[in-house]
Amino acid sequence: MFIEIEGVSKQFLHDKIPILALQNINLSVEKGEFICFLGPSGCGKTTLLNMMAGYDKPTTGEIRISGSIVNAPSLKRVTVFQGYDLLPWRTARKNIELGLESLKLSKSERKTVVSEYLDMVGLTDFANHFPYEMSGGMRQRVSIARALATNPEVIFMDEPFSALDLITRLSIQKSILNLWRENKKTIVFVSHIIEEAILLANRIVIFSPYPGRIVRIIDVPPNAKKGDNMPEYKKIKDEIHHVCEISL
Amino acid sequence: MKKTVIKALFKILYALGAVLILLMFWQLVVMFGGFNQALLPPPLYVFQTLGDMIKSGELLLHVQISLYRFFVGYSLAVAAGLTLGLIVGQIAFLSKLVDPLTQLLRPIAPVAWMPFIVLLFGIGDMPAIMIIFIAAFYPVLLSTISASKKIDKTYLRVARTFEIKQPQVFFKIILPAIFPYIANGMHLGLGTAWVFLVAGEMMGVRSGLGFLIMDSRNNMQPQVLLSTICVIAVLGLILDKIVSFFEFRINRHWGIQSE
Repeated sequence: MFIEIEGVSKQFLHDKIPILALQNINLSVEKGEFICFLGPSGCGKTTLLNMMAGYDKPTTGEIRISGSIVNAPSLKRVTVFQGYDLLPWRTARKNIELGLESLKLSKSERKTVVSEYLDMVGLTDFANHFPYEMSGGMRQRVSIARALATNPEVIFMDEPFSALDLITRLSIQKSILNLWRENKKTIVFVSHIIEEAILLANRIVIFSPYPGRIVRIIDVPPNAKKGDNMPEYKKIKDEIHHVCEISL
Repeated sequence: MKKTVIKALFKILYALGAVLILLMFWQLVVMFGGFNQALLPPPLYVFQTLGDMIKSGELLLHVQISLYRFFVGYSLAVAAGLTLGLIVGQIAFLSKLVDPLTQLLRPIAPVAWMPFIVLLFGIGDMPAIMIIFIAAFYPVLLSTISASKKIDKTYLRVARTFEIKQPQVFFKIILPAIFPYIANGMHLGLGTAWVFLVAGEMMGVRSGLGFLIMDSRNNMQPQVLLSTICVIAVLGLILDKIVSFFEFRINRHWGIQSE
């Protein structure tokens, strides 16, 4: 297995009172999977993602990626954050270049890579624009391009579309899906929107809160992604609804 | 677009109106206040004097020397305040030491150091430069320290994600991230320092706008005194507007909402 999560719990102290954010999480992810963590707020899905990305450590249990325990962020596993995380003093091009600066690449190599990813997210014409000159959707695309440019093995996304309007959201979802099909990266995606999870993921991990735990893991058949009039789509949506109702 | 133009025009109209009211008030006090006109000259006479001072080139000389002292003192203050503020802001125990010190020293009016500065550095440009330095130093220092403390955590997380190590984190992330707050401190410092320019030039020098004020008092020339005050006000306004313009550009660039 590529990513292994074994018996992971996470406890926080809130006003000196311990709160169990996650309880006994076990999950395996294969290389090239598109996993979605689905659940209401407070179910610990972001907490788990943060630990997988190395920003935080589990209270008990272990998270291993490619066989080694995760204990710090790495260029091999890049996170696209909630909201905007571009550096406002850098242009789109320079923002995408940020991660590449930590790699041993020549200037011209960096330039080639940046241009390639600018093109991939359709922002070649906006290469020299600063974040304040771009729309929310464009910024989010730059952020995704920045994550992809370092060629990571895993991409973590924490509700990266939450600040976008519906139309922009749909178009970025489509480009993410294309990117995943073309590059076969492992993607772990956090969402609280059922439709989004079905559209993007090949497996949906449903969380329930207090304490955060996994209640069901559902495989998404390819046919379900073809549209909301497909019987597979309806079936899976009903199943998720059902799971959510009984677990809350 | 059209709306903002009209808004800007109205702003200018209000400003002109305010100045006009002030001048009318001044004229009325001269006419009905019962003061000796040799002590309180009317606006028109003051503007005439101002015109003469400009024509003779005398004013320009004083303005030049004042601006020179101001920029030397201010630049030194910015350089020192920034450097010290960045170092102190990065090291927690240093900021605990510096905080009580600044609280103790800051309330002392810069002019209070004047006799001491004259004793140490003698008369000449130095005392004026030092006063301006002291006035501008604290705002720059304090805003730099507080900015480095409240840097947005997102940026530090981005740095961790992309494995950016020190000293690159400092130059690539921290310094640019706090730049707008530093610019704001520089703006505050500029205003404070301009206020103390005149005080700094009232003793020990034979040139500059502050000297001009003292000189006109000694020679009983209130029209020169009031002309100089007008010049100080207008120059201060221009300096402030220039810095505001840059600050606005910086804030827009950094995505900071102002007003």
